[in-house]
Amino acid sequence: MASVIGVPAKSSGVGGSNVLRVGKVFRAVVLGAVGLFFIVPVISSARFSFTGSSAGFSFSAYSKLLSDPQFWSTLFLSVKIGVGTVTLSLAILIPTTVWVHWKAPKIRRVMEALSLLPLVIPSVVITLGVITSFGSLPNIIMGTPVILALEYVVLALPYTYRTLDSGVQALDIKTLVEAGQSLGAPFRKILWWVLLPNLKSGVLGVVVLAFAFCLGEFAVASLLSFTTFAVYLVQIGQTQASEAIAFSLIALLFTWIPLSIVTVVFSRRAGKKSRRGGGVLMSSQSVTELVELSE
Amino acid sequence: MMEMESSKTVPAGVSVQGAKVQGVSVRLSKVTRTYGDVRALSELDLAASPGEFVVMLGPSGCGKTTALRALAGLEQIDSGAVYIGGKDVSRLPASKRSIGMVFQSYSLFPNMTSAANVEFGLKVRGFSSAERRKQAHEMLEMVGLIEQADRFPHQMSGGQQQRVALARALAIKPEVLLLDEPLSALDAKVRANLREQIKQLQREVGITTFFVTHDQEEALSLADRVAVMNNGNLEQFGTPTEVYSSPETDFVASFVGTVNVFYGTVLDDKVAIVPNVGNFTYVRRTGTPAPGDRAEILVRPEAITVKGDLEGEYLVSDVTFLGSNVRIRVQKEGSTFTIIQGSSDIDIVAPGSRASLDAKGSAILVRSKL
Ligand SMILES: Nc1ncnc2c1ncn2[C@@H]1O[C@H](COP(=O)(O)OP(=O)(O)O)[C@@H](O)[C@H]1O
Ligand SMILES: [Mg+2]
Repeated sequence: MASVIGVPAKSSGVGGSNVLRVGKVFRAVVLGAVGLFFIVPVISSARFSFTGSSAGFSFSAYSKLLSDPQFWSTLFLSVKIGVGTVTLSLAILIPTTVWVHWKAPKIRRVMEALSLLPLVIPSVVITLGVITSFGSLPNIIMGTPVILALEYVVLALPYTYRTLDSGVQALDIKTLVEAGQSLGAPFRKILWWVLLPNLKSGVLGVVVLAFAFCLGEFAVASLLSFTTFAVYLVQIGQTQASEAIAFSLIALLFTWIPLSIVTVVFSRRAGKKSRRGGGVLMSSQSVTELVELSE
Repeated sequence: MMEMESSKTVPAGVSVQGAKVQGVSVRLSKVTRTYGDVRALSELDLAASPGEFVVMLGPSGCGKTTALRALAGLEQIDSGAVYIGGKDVSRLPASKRSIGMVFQSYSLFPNMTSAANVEFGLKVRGFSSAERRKQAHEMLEMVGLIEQADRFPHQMSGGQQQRVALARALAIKPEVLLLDEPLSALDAKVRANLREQIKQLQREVGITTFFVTHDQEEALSLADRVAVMNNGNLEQFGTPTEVYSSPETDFVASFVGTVNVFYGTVLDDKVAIVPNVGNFTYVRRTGTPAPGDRAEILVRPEAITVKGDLEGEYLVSDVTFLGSNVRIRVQKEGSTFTIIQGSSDIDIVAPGSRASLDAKGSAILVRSKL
């Protein structure tokens, strides 16, 4: 679908425009409904976090949280795991997707199916598998958050692999690589100067999705007994309702603020490079990809 | 640091400053490449002289692209050798061979302007940005696209993109230029135009060039020599005139240009006769039937004239005006014959009328009746 963006839709005469209009209305209604479904709980929990069970308006839930050292330490842990997961995902996925499209386009379907496996197998099962089979690994991996990052790389695959794969799909990898080679460039220069700049939106998608996944994941972290941000949120929720709500709203902000910054910076840079059209195309592409994935 | 190291890959003897490249000889020697059961190249021998423009012509799937990619180092070969400038480069990867390549599909880097695309190979070789800009400017000027220097590929037409690709390939002053059907995605008018430009550029630069196409008109108009390929083999390697007028094999005779197959008799060493049409001169080769034998006589459309004749054996089925020429199709006993005649000829027949044919030139091939 990425390649379709930018191509003007063909309207098929008079009858077609009617169909288009109905389609537009329908789309607006659906988007509106979904939007309400998303925004109403957020607003009402925001209200709750400011009022709590007692009457009157207060910031007490927030000030309590922000002065809680464990809030910050668990956040820091989750960010660390997130950065690790993102880095590792990119390091594995970029070469893999490029290689598949360049040398073995026939196995694309197989790779895609493989990448979807974590959705089919419950994460609890995967985690138990990790514990039993890697239990003998040295403590530096098993006893530290490294194991969590490793597992998140796998669990986020259904989102990250597809995002990058569709970015690569939009390029004629084989021709681009071979053109680079014929001009004397070694592979690493082709990767840095040609492939990565053209995969910006796909890479951005992976960053956003993998990071958000790490901040929100609860089951695996708690099974492996790490008190991550999400685990701490649940712990608090068991005793202090309004703090827990405040916590989750902050978590939402913490996820979306950096991600919006990344998105804006990335698309701004793309826009500067290709003055006309290119930037818009780039950012709209990453947005559609994200929307598609979150559906 | 990274850039310095790769500047060593500029081959010795190729001046990047000089406008004209010293053409080098190129040779494929018994090159074989198989994909599973498919023999894409079967002991292919092909050699180009320094500065020569070689066009590889053949039907789709005959191995042209494979041959070109073997030359470029983009495709491994099972056996045989590739020589560029007398040096065996069979083991060198594409990035270490001194080649410039233009691909069939649009291959410009989408994230770079035309100028940056042209500069790419120079950047890889560690040229300073001032030097790169200067040379890219020259190259874009050469292909007539200096106004588009700051455009991105998606802002240019297909023809413009291929011209930038050509400038990019030539910017590194390669020893060999390889083009794989570079015009096939363009519309007819642009194609003819760009074809001329490529030919002219090649003459000016003097670079040994291999151009792949399945379009015989393109091949004949561009080539110093045409390599006609079929089934991974070289059928004939000769000047356009040789390939067109004296094809060495049945395949070449029928693939290059239009032929009419008449039945007749070999008269002597120089002449074959088609009853009621006339005498055609021909050149004997091994396998030509002996004088007195029945034979198939292959004749080009220009080597016959047609005239209206109420008692004629042929029925005019179609007359097409082609500008300076007229193409006439006639039929006899289920076979169709094609004649090309000048538009200014007085006696042009009408469809549906009867006509007779006259020999006016030579036959391209005389072979035993199958
Ligand atoms: N990568 C490949 N894998 C399998 N078969 C191939 C591959 N590349 C080419 N072939 C086969 O080799 C033959 C020659 O192909 P090619 O050189 O592309 O022909 P051309 O360029 O003349 O159309 C064809 O039969 C084609 O199917
Ligand atoms: Mg081909």
